[in-house]
Amino acid sequence: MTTIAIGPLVLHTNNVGWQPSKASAFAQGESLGKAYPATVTGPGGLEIDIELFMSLDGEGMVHCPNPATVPADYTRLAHGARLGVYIDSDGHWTVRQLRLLRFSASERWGNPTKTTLDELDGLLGGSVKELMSSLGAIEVGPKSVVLGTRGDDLAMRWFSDEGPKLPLSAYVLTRVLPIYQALN
Amino acid sequence: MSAQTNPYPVILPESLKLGHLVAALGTFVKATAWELGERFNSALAPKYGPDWLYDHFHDKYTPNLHDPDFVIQRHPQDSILWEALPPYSWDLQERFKRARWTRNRWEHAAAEQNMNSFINGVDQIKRLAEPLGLGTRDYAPELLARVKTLQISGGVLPPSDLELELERQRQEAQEARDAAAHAVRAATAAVADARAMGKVAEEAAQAKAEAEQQALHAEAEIRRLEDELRHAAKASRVALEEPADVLHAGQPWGDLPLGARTLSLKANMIDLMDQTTQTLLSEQVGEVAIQAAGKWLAFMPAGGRVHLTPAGHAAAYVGGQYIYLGRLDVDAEQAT
Repeated sequence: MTTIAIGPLVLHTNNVGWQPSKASAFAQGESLGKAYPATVTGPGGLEIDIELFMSLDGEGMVHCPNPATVPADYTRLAHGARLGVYIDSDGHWTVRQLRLLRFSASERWGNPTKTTLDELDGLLGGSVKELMSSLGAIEVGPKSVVLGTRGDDLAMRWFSDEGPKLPLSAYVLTRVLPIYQALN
Repeated sequence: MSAQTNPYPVILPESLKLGHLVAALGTFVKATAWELGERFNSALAPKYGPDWLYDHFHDKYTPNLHDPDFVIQRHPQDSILWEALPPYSWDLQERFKRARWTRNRWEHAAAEQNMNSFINGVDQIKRLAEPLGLGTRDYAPELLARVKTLQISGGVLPPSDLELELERQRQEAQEARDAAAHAVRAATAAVADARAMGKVAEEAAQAKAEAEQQALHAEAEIRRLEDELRHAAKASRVALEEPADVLHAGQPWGDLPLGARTLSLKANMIDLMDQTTQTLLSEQVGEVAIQAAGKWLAFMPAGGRVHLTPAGHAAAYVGGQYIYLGRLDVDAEQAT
């Protein structure tokens, strides 16, 4: 059971933990796997259900599992904007593209694009690296540094033992918080 | 400078929302610091002159006489400020220290605070204001009474003295754990430094082991206190008698008054979310919330709004009428 403050938002998890689940966001259609539920709350009664879904083949995502429960202002989250999570061959879990949702309050829409740690620090009002490290991240930074591959997206790597708090927090930071900030 | 009316009259929270609690506690701290600053000035200016603050405390800057950061802290035993206070004692020094912790928590980590830490914070500031004879000591009963009224109107039992004491101990244990975790990090760095310099790292390694032991001990203490706290709260709930005691799960709620505390029953987490305090019920009452939620979801699989009475009786609008879902602690016992 944990609460993690991410700016004005709070990520809640409890002891229910991983549950058998299925999701249909992958190219191969519906996938079986397991899901770790969480809830994000914020000022003004904001409450959004999210989950980390991991398919049996090691591919996963953080998303809003039930569009019907997503508040109207946050409908964008019910239409994609998922955060991809992968299990590497060496057992580490990674977010290969930590992108920031550019949300326009007037258009009620936006898409995730490349970002930097500085930009995310500004959004959080603190050090994203410190936050993620405190949650167990081995490394957060440019893809070339974290994964040794080409590209200047941000990436994040951690041990699976650290649990689902990392990708869930990353989702709140890069998907929910930008909408909250744009609307307030 | 002559004594003036405190510019920070008590602010009573209008709800249990964090912003209201921050305003109320922040004002209490500022009012106390203001009055204490006046006390210092009236006692020290005649003896040391009108520039006593500059003369004795100017470093890079001269502190503000009413700044909580300056006023509410552990003052060195040889500080002239003690001339304006009751005789120096370890107990009074501790009260300054704890009041400062409260101020820091609500200034620097306000987002992590809640109703319980508010009650504890009010108590800590009151514990400082009382032996100093400050007028702001009278703020505390008003603040606590208001929070209790808000709790009751939200359908929550006011915490008993035992619960308050346990909550205070829990916060202290958390501070001990944080200090131990800091010591572990420092010791780990020291071990690495010693190794890097080719020195024998035995001492540093021992310090690290001791710090880890302390962290484990503090963690265990927190768990124990949380358990005790939950048992105390459960005892308070179970001892209550309410008209809904005679109902069975699934029966119409009828004309009984609905519990004023509303929570959202969450199908995804099998738990209940209290939007007022932004906490899961399982954080407040433990596993019983998850066990009861699991049973209540049988009546409303998608979740939804639940009304909870002080005794833990739950009702929800299902199929065009309010029905009785069950009782928090009883349903949890049956689920195990």
